[in-house]
Amino acid sequence: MKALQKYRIPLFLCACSILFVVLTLIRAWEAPFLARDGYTYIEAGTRWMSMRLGDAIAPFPALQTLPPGFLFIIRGILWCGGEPAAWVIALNICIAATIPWALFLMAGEIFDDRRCACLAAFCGCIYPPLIRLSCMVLREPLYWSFAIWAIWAGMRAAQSRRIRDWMFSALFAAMAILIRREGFELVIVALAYLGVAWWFGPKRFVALRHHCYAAAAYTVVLLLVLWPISHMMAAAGSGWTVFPRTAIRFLTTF
Amino acid sequence: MFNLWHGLSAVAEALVKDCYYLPLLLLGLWGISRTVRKNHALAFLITALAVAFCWRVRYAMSQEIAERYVQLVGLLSMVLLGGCAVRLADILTQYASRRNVSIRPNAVMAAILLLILAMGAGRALNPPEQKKYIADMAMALREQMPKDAVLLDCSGESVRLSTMLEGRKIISMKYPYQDASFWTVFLSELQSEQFQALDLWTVIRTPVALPPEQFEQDFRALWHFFPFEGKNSFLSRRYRYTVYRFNFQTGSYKTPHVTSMSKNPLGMRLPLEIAVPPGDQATIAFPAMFPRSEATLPGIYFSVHAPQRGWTEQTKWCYRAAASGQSAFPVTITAYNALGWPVGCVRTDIRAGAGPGHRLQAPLADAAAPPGLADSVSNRTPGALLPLPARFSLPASRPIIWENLRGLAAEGEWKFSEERNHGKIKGTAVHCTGNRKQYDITVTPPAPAAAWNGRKEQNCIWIGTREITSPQLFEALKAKARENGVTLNFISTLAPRAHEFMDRPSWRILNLSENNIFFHGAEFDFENYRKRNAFPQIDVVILALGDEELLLSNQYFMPSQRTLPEDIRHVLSALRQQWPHARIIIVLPPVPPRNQDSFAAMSNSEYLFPFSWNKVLNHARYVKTVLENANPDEVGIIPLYLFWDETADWDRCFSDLLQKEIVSGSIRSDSGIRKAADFIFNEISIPNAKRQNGL
Repeated sequence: MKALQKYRIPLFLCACSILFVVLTLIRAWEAPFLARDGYTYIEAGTRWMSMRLGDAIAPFPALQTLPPGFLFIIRGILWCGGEPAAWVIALNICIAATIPWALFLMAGEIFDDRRCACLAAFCGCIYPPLIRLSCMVLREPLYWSFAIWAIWAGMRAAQSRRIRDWMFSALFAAMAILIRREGFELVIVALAYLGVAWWFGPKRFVALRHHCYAAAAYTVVLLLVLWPISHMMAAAGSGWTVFPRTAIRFLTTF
Repeated sequence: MFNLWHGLSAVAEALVKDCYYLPLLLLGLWGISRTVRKNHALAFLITALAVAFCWRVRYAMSQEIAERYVQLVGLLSMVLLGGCAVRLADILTQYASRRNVSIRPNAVMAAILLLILAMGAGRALNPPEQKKYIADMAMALREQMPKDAVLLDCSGESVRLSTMLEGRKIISMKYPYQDASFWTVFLSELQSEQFQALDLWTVIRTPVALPPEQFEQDFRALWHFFPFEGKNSFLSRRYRYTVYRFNFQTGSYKTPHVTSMSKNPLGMRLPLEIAVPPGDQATIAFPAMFPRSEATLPGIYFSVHAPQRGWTEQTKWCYRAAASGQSAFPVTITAYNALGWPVGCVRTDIRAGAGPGHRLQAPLADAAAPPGLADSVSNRTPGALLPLPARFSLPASRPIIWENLRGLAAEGEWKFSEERNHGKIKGTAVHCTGNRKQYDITVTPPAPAAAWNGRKEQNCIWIGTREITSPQLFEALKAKARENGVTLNFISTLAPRAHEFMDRPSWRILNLSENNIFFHGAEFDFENYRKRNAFPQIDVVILALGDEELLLSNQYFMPSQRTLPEDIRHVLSALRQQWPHARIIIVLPPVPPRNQDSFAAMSNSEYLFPFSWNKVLNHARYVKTVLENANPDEVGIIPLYLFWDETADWDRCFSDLLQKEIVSGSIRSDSGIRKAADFIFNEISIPNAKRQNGL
């Protein structure tokens, strides 16, 4: 009983994850078909097995600038000989099942009361869009997972002021960028926070060094992950770039 | 279209739809400050929430967004919801204790948990109602559509349907209903599938805002009838999906499919077999194939398929059997309505040199055709249903083509009074209905040099890719000019295979504008083209689009109804803007060939054999559009379709113009080209009204 008491939080989080998986599987059983985009991803991934990436995505204009992460996953599954739709859904569910844990940790950073964190995890595990989309061949569950972990790491870094945490945050942000283009927003969040915290914080001159280090570490990790992949994808014929002009134009015209 | 308000409302709508927790969030927000730590982590979280929210609002301002796109904001706010729920539980407990109600805090917490679970799970597991129409549509198609039928899918759900209708052929149409290219591609697919005479079904997706019969209305506007049977209709949030079965017989005349002897749509009939004694002649009069009671159908025409046997005259098909020997062959006669759709087909076997067999039955052979039908057949000319330009010129050497003009009135009669005042002949059309139309037909003397203010050299640009006639016409035109002491410098014609836009065999004037020769950026750049060809100026522009552009393209055969007038206006205004003093001439092509053999390679179906309706209608649409959009004071129009001979084939298309000179062999060597060149040269010689007026 004492052990149960000791591990009640992890057990609760495990229960949340299990609840999420069960609900998602029920929903998957109900769903009559996959999402339309899912078919496109699978077809593009299948074509990529037998031809150059540029040629594989040529018939799909929407995929010309698609970040490569999801196609890598589908191709990897196909390479292993798995049935792509089922395995992608399984992967989505597994990774999305970690979201309650991330929410718990995030809430733990800002609430004293443990119940708040537990409730946050609970609310996350039954969040309807998360359940609905995790049983589809879509990128959203993966993106949300990576984004939420990146934000948790950022919150932790902001609180602890440790460079290591910023680097973790950058790592997750890079993975999110590889899944969806708007992962770029995570970079903006981190850099905006550093800028705002420095501007409004005390002892600006003293704090400048820390913030510069943090920003530099964040950027370096991001580029170390993304730059080689970007070059590789460009050579393979993909139109995806780390910082697409359209995204920059999109932001500057706000 | 999209503004900040639109973006905010779109994001909020998407969030509220799935944020079952919003009431809780709102209730608890006021008290959250008591439980939350005001630290850097909270600052980071708020920054993340703000950036994610603004990013999505900005995105929603630029385009329509999917609901799932905004859900990261919802997930992040779950962190705050935990605090809100706990705070709410505390408030409820305090409130109850103040009211002297004993409630255990854990019970309140459990109630809130259950509430969240019920709302969240209920919403998450709710069957996807918004997608139910796809399953319903697939079920309906599976039940009704035969397995060998083809589905022309315009619903945008082809991928899903293909998984649910396994084994059936599905052709996906990627253009939405309101796209300008929709009708072009839709009718192209329709045509290509009909060549194979397959059972064809289609799903049309129209916005819910449009009335349910929008597709029918649009189709009728294009083709004047509706060859579809409506089956089922399904609604999604934004669209209406309607299943149709293509059946042009039913759609046009409410009659069943055709068989050899049964009554077909027009009630046409022929005996199964016709024996022709040696040396004798068999004649099948087209009007005699119809029962007297049949309704009159103006503009009907026929196509006979009897490979290399007999000959066709305007209203009959004749065959003379050899004096010795026997032969047997089938003859198929297809009737087309005025729009070119096949409406009847009969088949018989001719046994030449055989003994007495099933001769043409007396009632059929002797029967007089219904008056209206007979008239329509005999009076029919290729120009029927085509409008006439308000003004056009004729060479002085051939002032009268009244016989051809008469044929323009399929339903009435034309009377012309010739008034040779100031070189003009006025023609007055009198319709049976009493409507009167007056046309000015100008006969101009061939005095090009004077008209061109003494300039003996004219720089012309020829826009046209008419493969068969253009090059010859082009050369003949130059020769004619030389005869008159004028030099015509032509910028080379746009030969059909020399330019990239012909790689995609579609015709639209827009394609010319997209051509690199003319098109730089968003506007025409004719001037650059002129400079590249080192022409000091352009005096004449001849737009001579022909069959290659309009009619014979295999795949994209129909110019878009919605863009054609716009395209023509665009080209004309661009030309006028670039070269305001240049004479612009539009040569309207002859009527496309209706000879069945011309299309023999295009279909295996006897009934659908020539299927020339698209070409006839494209031609008519082009002519009509040009006449409606080109100002006759500024643009010279040459209606070559007036000179078409119904019974002649392509190579004899100018035969009527040529004083009934039926030239054997190719038109390339005959004088018809020279005559046509006369017309064009005559038109060139008329000075531009603006130039003449010094504008």
